[in-house]
Amino acid sequence: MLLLIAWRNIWRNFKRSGIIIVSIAFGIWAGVFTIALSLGMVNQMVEDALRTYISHIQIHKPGFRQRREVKLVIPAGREIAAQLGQAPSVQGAAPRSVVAGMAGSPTSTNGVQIIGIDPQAEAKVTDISERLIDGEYFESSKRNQAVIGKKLAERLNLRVGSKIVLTAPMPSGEIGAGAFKVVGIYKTSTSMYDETTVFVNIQEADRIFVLSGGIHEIAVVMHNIDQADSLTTALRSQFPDLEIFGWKDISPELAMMTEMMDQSLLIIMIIILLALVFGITNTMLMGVLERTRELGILMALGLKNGKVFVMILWETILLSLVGGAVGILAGIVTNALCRRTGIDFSLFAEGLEAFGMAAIVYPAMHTRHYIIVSVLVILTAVIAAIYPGIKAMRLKPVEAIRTY
Amino acid sequence: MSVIRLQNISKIYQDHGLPVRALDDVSLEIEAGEFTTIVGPSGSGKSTLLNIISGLDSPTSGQVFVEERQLDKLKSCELVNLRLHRIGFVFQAYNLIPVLTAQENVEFIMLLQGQPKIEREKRARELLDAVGLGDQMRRRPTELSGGQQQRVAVARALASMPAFVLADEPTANLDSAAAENLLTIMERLNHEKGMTFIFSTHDQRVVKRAHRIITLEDGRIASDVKADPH
Ligand SMILES: Nc1ncnc2c1ncn2[C@@H]1O[C@H](COP(=O)(O)OP(=O)(O)OP(=O)(O)O)[C@@H](O)[C@H]1O
Ligand SMILES: [Mg+2]
Repeated sequence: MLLLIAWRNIWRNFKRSGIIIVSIAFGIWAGVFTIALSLGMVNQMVEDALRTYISHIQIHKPGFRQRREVKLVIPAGREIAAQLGQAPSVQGAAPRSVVAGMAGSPTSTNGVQIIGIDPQAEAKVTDISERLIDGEYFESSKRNQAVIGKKLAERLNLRVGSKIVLTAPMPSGEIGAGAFKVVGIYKTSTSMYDETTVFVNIQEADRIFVLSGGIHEIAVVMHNIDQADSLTTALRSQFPDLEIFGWKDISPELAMMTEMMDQSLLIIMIIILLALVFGITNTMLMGVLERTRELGILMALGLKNGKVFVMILWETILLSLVGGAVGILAGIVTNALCRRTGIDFSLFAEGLEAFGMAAIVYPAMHTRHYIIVSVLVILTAVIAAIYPGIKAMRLKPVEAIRTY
Repeated sequence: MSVIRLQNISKIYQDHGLPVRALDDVSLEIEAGEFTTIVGPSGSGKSTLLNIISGLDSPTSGQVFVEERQLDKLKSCELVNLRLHRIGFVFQAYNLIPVLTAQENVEFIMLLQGQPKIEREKRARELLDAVGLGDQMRRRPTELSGGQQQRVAVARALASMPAFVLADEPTANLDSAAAENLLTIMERLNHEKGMTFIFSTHDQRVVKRAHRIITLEDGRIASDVKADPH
């Protein structure tokens, strides 16, 4: 019955309750939307980074990552890659040769990483094949094809069909060079990467730079990213002589970002709710003062102090939950609508892209976050109820009843 | 046996630093089954007396015994329980919880007593029937007239099966018909159930029906007479 009284008391002063409910709802909505937007941004950034550059697991000969020496090849790299590609938990495993060199056009040159790939295996691991803005991905029939980034194409003034000369030191120490034809131009969300990464067929890289079948890097992508850690551990014991890194080792800042995001979002939400606490407290306090006589009668009749507090607490919680529910629902609807179209930040895209962010952001929110928000709302209500509740509890029934 | 016994009760309020003597050495005994009114001019101490009897207020000096229990020796929760289980209240006006229906108002006190739902509903219906509001049970106080509200308040006061009912000017806001109606109901309960009633009032209609009339003047008992109700 206390709950019933509390519930009906909320609707008694409809205007006052309405105002605070709307402000709670608006605050929560703003919070939820901000969270979803930020999470969407970060998720996309992480996913992009993993899908485009990092993959889930990378295998190298120890020292290669630091020194990039062409001699540091993975023994039996091709076999390991083929084997990994067969594993049920693995979506794809791509063997690569990597040489640091120069890309030249008739007008200019630029320092690049020349990455020799197996186009089929690579397509299962990275999404370069999906990021072409011009031309095509590798075609088996043609020779000496190169896929380059948009930024490099601009720098070197290249187009699909243009010739590009790649030069790089060979394991022997001499300089090797080959002429390639640009067949595709890709664009990722990091322009830096686009400027410095050229893909060629691994056999051709092998032939031109005389790598003798050496593999420098194997990139692995799992069906489910959560399994990356366990496979990393397994591979480490299977190949103790190789350097095997999970994505969190390769890019700890990326892993941290998700966690830090959770924390900063919690802080945003807490700030919003803290601001609301004052409004809620004020509303409840007005309610208590207005009902002095009524509360006095309840207490005179035999309602214990503790229950008076509980009654005010219930009222505050219900009030906040109504506001919270409206806000969360509005947030869910807004998020769903925006997820369909995405929110276009292309106005600021130039700036964002340098940081590896996409121009169109899709809000993302986990059930977990909605639960956290709901819990925070209840917590807010409890905090907001303390002062009015104590005020109500401390009423002296005689004095309360006298005031008419 | 007296259910209520006051010994040398004085109550002094501080009003802006000045002492106000609301009750001055009042001694009084009330027997079970009485139908008593406390009369006196405004400010004579009627409300104060009732508040002290119910333990809502404490005297500056003197002792109060309710059913032989000395109130100032009770812990605050024992006092709350005493009010909840032994005393029924009817106040002057705005007695009811506005967000609850007539029925819920009556049930509320039984709920605090921890009575089962079936029992609550049954007794609420009986009591509201008894005060002639059986067909208005679902209405909220604002949908009832002043007299009807006071009748609900009486029903609520009785719902707890109290040993006695304290009513502070229960008819103050009622027209003649409503006041007579309310008194008739209380009289009947006094007769049939032997319930003790103590009123404070200015109202001659109430005074006429009382069995005992205690007159207060300036916080003292000026007269205490048995009367023949008619
Ligand atoms: N809380 C208080 N503080 C100061 N003075 C008070 C307080 N309560 C009552 N008094 C004073 O005590 C005296 C008795 O008050 P009380 O309310 O008992 O009178 P009453 O007989 O009920 O009057 P009425 O018929 O107007 O209700 C009055 O002079 C009143 O002003
Ligand atoms: Mg009075």
